Amino acid sequence: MTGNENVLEVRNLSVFYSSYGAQKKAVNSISFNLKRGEILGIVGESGAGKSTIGKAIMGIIDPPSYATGEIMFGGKNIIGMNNYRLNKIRWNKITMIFQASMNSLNPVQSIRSNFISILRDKMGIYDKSESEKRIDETLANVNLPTGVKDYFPHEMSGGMKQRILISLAMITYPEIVIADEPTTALDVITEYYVLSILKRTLKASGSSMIYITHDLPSVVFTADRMIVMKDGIIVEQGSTEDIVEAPKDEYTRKLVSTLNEVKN
Amino acid sequence: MNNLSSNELVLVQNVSKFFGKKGNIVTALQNVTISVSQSENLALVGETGSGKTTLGRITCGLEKQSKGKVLLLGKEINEYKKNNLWKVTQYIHQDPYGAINPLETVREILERPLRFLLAIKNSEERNELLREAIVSSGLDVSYLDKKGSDLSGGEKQRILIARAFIVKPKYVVVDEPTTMIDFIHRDEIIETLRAMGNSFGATLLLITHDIMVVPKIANKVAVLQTGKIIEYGETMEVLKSPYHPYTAFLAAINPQKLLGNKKIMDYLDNYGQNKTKIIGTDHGCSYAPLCPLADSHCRENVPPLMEASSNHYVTCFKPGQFNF
Repeated sequence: MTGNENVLEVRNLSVFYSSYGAQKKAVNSISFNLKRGEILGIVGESGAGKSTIGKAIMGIIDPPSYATGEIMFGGKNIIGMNNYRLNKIRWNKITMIFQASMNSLNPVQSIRSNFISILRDKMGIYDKSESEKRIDETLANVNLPTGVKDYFPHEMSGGMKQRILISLAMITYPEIVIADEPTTALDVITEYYVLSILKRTLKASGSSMIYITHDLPSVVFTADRMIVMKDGIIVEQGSTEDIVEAPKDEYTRKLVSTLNEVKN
Repeated sequence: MNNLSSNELVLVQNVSKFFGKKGNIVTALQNVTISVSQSENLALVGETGSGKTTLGRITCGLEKQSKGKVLLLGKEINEYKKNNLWKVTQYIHQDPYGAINPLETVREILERPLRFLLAIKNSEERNELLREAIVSSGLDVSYLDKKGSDLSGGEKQRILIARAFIVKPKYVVVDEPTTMIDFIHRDEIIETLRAMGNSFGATLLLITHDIMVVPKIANKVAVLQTGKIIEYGETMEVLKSPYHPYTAFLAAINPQKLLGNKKIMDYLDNYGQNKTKIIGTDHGCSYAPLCPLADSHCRENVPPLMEASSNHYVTCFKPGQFNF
């Protein structure tokens, strides 16, 4: 359940992208906290800077682009951390579920070997029975039969692949999961089914999640608290109920109203 | 739904469609009957594999039905010559990135149907039509000289829309126009489609899995599942009081209803446990394994598409009893 302790504190984060000498500020001095066990939704249109926040937390903003400010995790600032230290956090304490589920799995690698490489490289688990046990357990959490371990990605449907990606992100018992548009390629019922599984798995494990999407209804379904972004700044943040029932900002009001037309 | 009225544009009668060869046949559509009336946009809603795209493609002659009859303006669709067919009906592809040649200019792309389909020899006349189409698609005339590769996704989508409407068709099938676009710009594309349908005098068939866009463009909606129409009626009527439990779920996807709704979580749990059972159910309602209300009557008898209230059809023995 949601505690009061912050797992992640973001202070004055700015991210600058540069290409061909031109510089663009994708994220403009934003601050927020992520509490333990909480699901935080980040909503905004394309180009609002929401995916960039996820990248900054994972430490995958490559030069000449750079980030300034503070992302405090476990008492240390992720920004400016060297790769050796980052790799101890990355895909271990902080994991990510990527946007393009269809392309995120190696087509010539079985599902089992995907899991085993994470367990070996990141957790140092070499024991076969121990790793099998952990794989079965994570697969059961996302409602997949253990037989899918021997499958290759092309043998699975989109919804199954998406659940594999969730379990790949959950197998290290991370403190934070960053999900960047995890359900864009799925149809409505599969999308909400995958989200319900994601939500349940997280609540059971006590991990926190940052859920990045442009789809407001799915955030309302998933998140405890949400951040609305536009052009690199946070226009509104608060609990999901408050934002849906009484949006304060003009832009948020527009977002919520476009989705409620059916009701009226 | 079976009554032929004078303003019927498309009539689909008892159409089935099978894919694959002997021994491995997939049924995409099972005995579907539906009609599209002039100036009454229809939306087909359903999940992947429900047959909505197949039905859409059959109604504009891109796919041939295995059984049944399709009439376009009172004439059997398979009897049309291709050239005449494309003057009456057009199809807008789902993927704007794949449907536009990156090396051609917008002018070349839009001019082709004018030269070869409508055979307009006069270049002044062609230019006039080009300008009209591009402006009403929401772009300005300077776009005519841009190349396909210079356009953003949304702009490509608009060019596709302009290319379909430029021949002044009577009937346009639009396949998932909003999947590639984020939801702020989604409304703009939908509004462009609606406005162009009005001003060019075309009736639209919208294929989508996103029920939120339906009321903005379509007067009628048909919900498909496993190759059958499970609900059909006036859009607002269907969304406000859905009769089928699956439609009720789709209609519940809006912020107010999702907020802390325990019933939706239960429904999804049940879906996860039983979703593989709905394919291959031979007798009874095919939705029964997922339905919270199903009883022995539902499991043994197949519900026909029946008129539960005036002009609101559903394949359910307990219409409207389940709601979120």
